[in-house]
Amino acid sequence: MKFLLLWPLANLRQHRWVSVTVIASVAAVVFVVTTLAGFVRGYEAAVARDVDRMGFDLLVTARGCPYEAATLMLRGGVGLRYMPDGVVERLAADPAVAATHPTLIHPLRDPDSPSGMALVKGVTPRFREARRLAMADGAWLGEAEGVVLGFEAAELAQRHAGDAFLLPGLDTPLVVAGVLERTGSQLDGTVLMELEEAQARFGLPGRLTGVGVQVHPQHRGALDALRERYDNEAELQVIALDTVTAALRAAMEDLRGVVTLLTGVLGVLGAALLGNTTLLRALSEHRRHAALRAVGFPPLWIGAAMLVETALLVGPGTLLGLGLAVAAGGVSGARLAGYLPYAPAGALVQLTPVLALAVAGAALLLGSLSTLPAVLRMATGDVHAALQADT
Amino acid sequence: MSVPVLELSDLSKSWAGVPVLADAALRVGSGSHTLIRGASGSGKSTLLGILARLVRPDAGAVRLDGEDITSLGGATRYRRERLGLVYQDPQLVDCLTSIQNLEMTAAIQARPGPTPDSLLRRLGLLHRRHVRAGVLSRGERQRLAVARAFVGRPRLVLADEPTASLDPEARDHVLDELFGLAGDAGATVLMVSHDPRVGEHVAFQQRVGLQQGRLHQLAPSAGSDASARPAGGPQPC
Repeated sequence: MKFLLLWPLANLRQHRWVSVTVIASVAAVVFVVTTLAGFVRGYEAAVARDVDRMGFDLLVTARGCPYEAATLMLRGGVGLRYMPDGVVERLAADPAVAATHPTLIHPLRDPDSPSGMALVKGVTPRFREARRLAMADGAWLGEAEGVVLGFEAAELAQRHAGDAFLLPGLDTPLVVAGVLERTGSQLDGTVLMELEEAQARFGLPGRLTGVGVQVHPQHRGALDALRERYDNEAELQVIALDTVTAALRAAMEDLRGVVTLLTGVLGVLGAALLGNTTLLRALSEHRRHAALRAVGFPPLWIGAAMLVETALLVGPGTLLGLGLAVAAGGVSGARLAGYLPYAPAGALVQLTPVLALAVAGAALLLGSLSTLPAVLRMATGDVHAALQADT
Repeated sequence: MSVPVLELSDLSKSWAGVPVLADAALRVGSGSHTLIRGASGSGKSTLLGILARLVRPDAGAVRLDGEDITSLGGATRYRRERLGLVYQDPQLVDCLTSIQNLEMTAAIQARPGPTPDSLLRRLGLLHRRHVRAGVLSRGERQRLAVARAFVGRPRLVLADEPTASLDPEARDHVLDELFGLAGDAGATVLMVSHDPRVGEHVAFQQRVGLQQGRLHQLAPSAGSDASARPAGGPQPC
């Protein structure tokens, strides 16, 4: 039995460059397939996590995207639109509504920022709980004096909790109360301030750009009617979490389809490459195999050695590919997310033992199947004719 | 003549309608050495192919130890357990060492034969036991192929032009070793060659010519234990 391993091993060593090339090719295919499959899982999980953390069932804003409006305003366009008075009160009075989270988004020109502006968001202290925000450093609004910086805003300004912080255009320095964990959302580049303080500092008393709405679980059936009622108002627009979720889910389905297709194509290409290599090897070893059959080696034994040889190519190639996928998971996830309209936070390439085992199993199965033509050719070939050829 | 170990009777074989063997007959005694000579394409290799059960005859019978091998099942097992084969091209496993080539063949044998080390010693290859077969000289490779043929304690050794590509010194060496090992094992040797110098080797008790598909005695040999007969019926030596 030891020669079922020793012979293929010696054969691979003798043709080491071919072996290395095949192992590298298998590794490349496994790396791409694993990364894509892991990305689908990771992206799906990250999107689900983000959806879960959106916190609001409905987001009611002044008609028009407040972020676009802020950019326009800084470029001399029409200013931000604010919500009409009384919307928050009307919403709060609705029996279906469990909580409201009024916000004021205010842009400031900031030449040091890559976007040319700093976004300040005035929120109530309950905003953190609703959005399930985690602190990377320091304390939340209301727990300490000052503002809370999004993760990237803190990095850009190189500020930590307790540091002084100067908002562009404002003379009075503020204190950084805390820094948020990365969320993967617009909050990362935002400065968060208590709503009333923001309204006072920017001279916008009572002004709001939006309000997040949480609905009682037992009143979820009223969500559509609520959305429709406010969306019908001329100055308001309503974004429903369900709509966002459905759009993301549809995008995920598309992504899964593309990845499945790519995985299939790569699998077929990998199997074809392996099958071609194995067949070429079998052809070059044709007479040797015939001679071994002539001296009494059963075709099954030689076939098993050929399959072991394939396994010795596919095995290390698969391990290498999986190792690369694990090592480069972060970079791969970021690069892949760059091609998609929405990049959630967290690890986007999710590699699990089950996925690794599935990829390894599929690689071995495809490798074995691709070797079968060569094995069949060896087992059914005319030994006498092979031995007489070119002699 | 002792009881023949190998007996061919009325053996015929055609390739694409062209007859290469026509009612060929031969009797070979146990432990004897027989040379079959013939021009290229005369059917020598086809004859050995039939004896090795690599080629199916159109007609006739081949009896080894009284048993008709053409009607037996398990050709691979038959070759493994009863035959030793040596070809012009040794077709060793080049990536394995000398000793590994013999050990691998020994690993599939049911009956223990001489140990690979003893075979290498006998053939003067012990100092090359850990050298890959692919880097051995042509003569060394052919001696290793001879050693491989005796790993399974064969009853019959079939050699197809085993010295065709060797220089005279290597040729004599290979033939001496082959006959020496066959003598030790009590194996019968049937060798085909078109080289007249091979036929001069004293170990052959019988020299048979193959011409137009028929076997005929070439020259009487002292102490011969075998006989060839023309087509159509048995004929004493």
